[in-house]
Formats: sequence, C-alpha cells, structure tokens
Amino acid sequence: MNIYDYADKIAHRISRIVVLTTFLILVLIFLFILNESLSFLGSGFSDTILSVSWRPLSKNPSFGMLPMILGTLYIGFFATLLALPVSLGCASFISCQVRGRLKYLMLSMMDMLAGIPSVVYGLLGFYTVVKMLESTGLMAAGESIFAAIITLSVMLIPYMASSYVKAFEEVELMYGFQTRALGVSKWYSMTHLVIVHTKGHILTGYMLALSRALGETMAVMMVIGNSPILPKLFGKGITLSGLIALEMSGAQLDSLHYQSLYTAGIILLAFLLLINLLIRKIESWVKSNEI
Amino acid sequence: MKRILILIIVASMLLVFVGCADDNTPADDGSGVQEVGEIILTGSSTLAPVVTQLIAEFMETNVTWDKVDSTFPAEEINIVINGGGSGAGISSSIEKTANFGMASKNVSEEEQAKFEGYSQYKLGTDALTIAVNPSNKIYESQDGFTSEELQKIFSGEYLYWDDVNSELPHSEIVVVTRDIGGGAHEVFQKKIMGEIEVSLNVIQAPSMGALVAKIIDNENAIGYASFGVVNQNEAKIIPMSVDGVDPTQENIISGDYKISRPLLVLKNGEMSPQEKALLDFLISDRGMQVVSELGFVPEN
Repeated sequence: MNIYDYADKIAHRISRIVVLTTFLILVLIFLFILNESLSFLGSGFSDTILSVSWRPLSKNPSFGMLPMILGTLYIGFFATLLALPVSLGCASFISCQVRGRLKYLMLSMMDMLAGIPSVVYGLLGFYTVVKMLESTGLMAAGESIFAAIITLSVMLIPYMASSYVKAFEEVELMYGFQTRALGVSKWYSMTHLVIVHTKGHILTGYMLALSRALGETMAVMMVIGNSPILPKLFGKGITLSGLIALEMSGAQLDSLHYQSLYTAGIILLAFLLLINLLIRKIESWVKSNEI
Repeated sequence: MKRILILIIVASMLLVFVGCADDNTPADDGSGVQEVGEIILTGSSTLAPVVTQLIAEFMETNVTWDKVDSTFPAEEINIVINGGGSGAGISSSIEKTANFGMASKNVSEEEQAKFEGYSQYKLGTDALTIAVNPSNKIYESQDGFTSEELQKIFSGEYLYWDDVNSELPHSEIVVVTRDIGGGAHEVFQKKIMGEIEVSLNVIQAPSMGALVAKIIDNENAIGYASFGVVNQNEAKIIPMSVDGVDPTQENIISGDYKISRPLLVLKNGEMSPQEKALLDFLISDRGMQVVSELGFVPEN
C-alpha cells in the first residue's frame, strides 16, 4: 500500500465520523425535544392540543394549538404559491434573456437579497405592508395573515429564483442553440421546453421554499399580530415558530406551559420531516422519469 | 494531489479542535488561594440590560479580582449573565445553578420557602403605563382610565373607542400586549385584570420596543408601555392615569400607582466575599444611576 491509499483511508474514516456526528446531533435534538415535551403529552392536557383555545396560564389551562398549526400552513402555502410564478419569471429572465455582465450583476444581487436577515424583512413589512393596510382603512390594525403572506413571499422570491436559475441554465445550455436554430420563439421554448423539462426541479424548489416558509419566525412574527385565533386572510394570527419564540423566554422552567411549547416544536419538526421526505420522493421520481 | 489537499484541510481542522480543548483547561498559576471561578446571574430580561451594563463596567475597570480587593486572588473576573425570565431567575437560584437570580416581580412566599436562605436586594421599580397615541383625543375628554374600563378594553368587551367614551369616533380599538408568559403581562394581569382573561384577538408584541412602536404608529392603539420607554418617547405616546393616579416617579415610589413591579436580585444562602463585592457595586450610587438612565425608578 502506498501513501495515497493510507491518506484515502484516513479521509474516508474522518468523513464517516463527521457524517455520523451530524446524524447523531439530529437524533439528539429530536430526543431532547421529545423528552422535554413527554410529561406534557402524558399530563391529560394533551387532548386539548386540537382545540382552538390557547390559555396556558389560566386556572383551567387549555393548550389548543389548532390556530398555530393552521396559521403556519395557511401562511406557508399561500406565500410560496404567490412567490412561485414571480420566481419562475425572474429565473427565466435571468437564465435566458440576459447575458454577460448584467447577468452576473443580477445573480449577485439576487444572492444578496437571499442573504438579508429575516428580521430586516420583518421590519420592512412592519413599516410598509402593515402601514399600507392601515392607511387603506380596511383594518384598524394592519397586522394580519395577509401582511405575513406578502412579507414572506417577498423573502422567498430570491431564494426560490436562484435555485431555478441553475436548472434553467442547464436546459438552455443543452437545447438553447438548437431551438434558436429552429427559429423557436423564446416564449414558446420557455413554456414548452424549459418549464416542462425542469418540472421536477421546480417542484423540489417549491417544497424547499415551503419548508423554509413554515419555519420562518422573525419576519412573520413582526407583521402577524401573534394572536392565537383561527387564521383569516384579513385577521390576526400566529405561527408555531412564532409562538415558541414569543413565549419561551417567559415560560417558567418545566411548567406545563414550557413543555407545551416543546410540543409545538415537535409538531413543527414533524411537518418539516414530512416535506423533506416528499422532496426525496419527488427527486427519485424525477430521476427515474428522465432516464 | 487533491487528496493530499483534503488531508491537510482535515488535519488542520482537527488541530483547531484540539486547540479549542486546550483553551478550556483552567490556568493553574500555582497560587494556593481558592479560585473564584465563574459568577452566573440568571433571570429577568427587564433587569438584564441594567445588570449587563453595570457588570461590563465592573469587569472593565477591575479586570482581575485583586484590583477589587487586595485580599482576593489575582484571577480574571468572569461573570456570565443569562436571560430566561423571572421564572428562570427564581428557579436557578433555588437550584443554585446561578450565583444570583434576577426577578422583575415579587417572589411568592411559597417560592421563598424553597430557598435555603432567602435574601433579596431591590435595585428599583418598573411601572407599566397605559399609553395611547397622541392623535387619540381621549386625553381631552378624560384624564385616564378606571381599572374597570381597562378590564373591558383588554378583555374585548369594548371593541370601539366610542364604547369607552361617546365623544370619540367609532373606530376599532387596537389592543397591544406583551406575551402572556412574560413579567409585564403577569403584573398587568394581576393588578388590573384579576380573574378576567385578556382577549385572544389582541396583538402580542415580541418586545417592549415593538409594543411602543405600534402605539406610536397606530392612532387607535392602546397598550401597557414600560415607564422607561415612555420617558424616552415623550410626546410620541401619551401616558394615561389609572384610577386617578398619574404614573409619575413619586406615585410609583409611594406605591399609589398600582401597575408596578420591583426589580430584584436574589441570593440563596451565604455570599462569598467576591459575590458581596459585586452586589455592593450593583446597589452603589453608580448602579442606581444606570437604573434611572435605563428608565426605571431607582431604589435610592
């Protein structure tokens, strides 16, 4: 055996250890959250989770998480649905219509937008979207599910678009020359070739954005009002992650309130896990269809 | 070539980890004096900024313990401040996981009984003022609210401003609160609401700053703003009296203004000389100055 084989073996071992550690950390996080919420789940109050009344500190506490669960899903789905067409348009423009320096500029601007901390988007939403809704006179307080959807979708657009640009560029590289040679219009090649060819990628990108939307805390928390009531488009609402961030600091250690917040964490984790599984399924489905 | 490169990178990463481990071992300079180690303060997020600023000053001016007092060991001062809320402050001093607890509410006798030796040191008082937007003409029609009016506003029984006072326009009341678990809400619930629940359809602001920003922004808003923050935003929000008592410094100290809470540092058992020195600094004149700079009412 020469030195390269040894080096290879060592590198292999180390990367295996790193992967195992990552996996272990994930399992430990899950076990920790489960452990913290276990005594709540066995306390007899756990059946109140599916009610609508969140009163963790009153004499007859109830821990209805339906408003948060529905609020999270409502905002996640609508924000991603709103962001999807815009991101597709944005990505197709960057990948097919512009070239050279302008393209580079646009891509780096997009990456910069994707990197802005969410609290900045939240502040922006608070001073623009919320304010605008108030000035229309539609609502007394602009904090609403609607404001959260708008803020979140603006946040998701650069994230979604930059993942689509890469997929679209690949198609452009493969077929761009041929389609132009055949005289196919750009619009036709976009709708009949690029989108059709990358539909699996579009779907996984959508799911990734959705999982990000469900977990988004700060930006949403600043524009939604944080009221534990059932979500209505022009009403206040709350999300699971918002609930945890809002109340964890005030919850007394090891109280039912504290443990119920960990239970909210488990529910959120379950959603994210489900979406990740779906992404894997879609990816393998796309691969098997391509060949 | 690539593999060798990877190997070098991995090896250097490992070295970094080993280096980190080295840093954690305590420096043993062979002196026989007992080590002070880390002093931990845990608790109220209202009090934490005051204590953080004071302790930063304490560590900057002294650096090592022997500068505080020549009989102390020449060890670097190491003080850690954790948030976590008043509840965490009380429980961590009971369990002795922190040297001091910080609480921005009264400690109940039940909780005091769990201490081995309970002692509390009051740094000052924080009051919650009922504040409205300057465009809200309610302060022209009435000086303040009665507790009963506040109960009806916050429980959702009064939905429009003209329910409160017929001279006001028929616009929706925007109620802003803090999160239900926090110290501010607890005090408000206890002193004003009693057994009545606050409506679920209210805005829960994630911080006191956000709460005040909302009142400044929305002319129909009402909320309980911290005394200190109201002083920082004079004329942008209007503090109202409660049951005829104005939220002034005198009324807060005398206890006539009822929505107030103490800012306490808790200690379980005997203090070490270093802990005593630290506490003396917190309740010194400089300490009181910082308390009032951050908008609270100092104890002395």
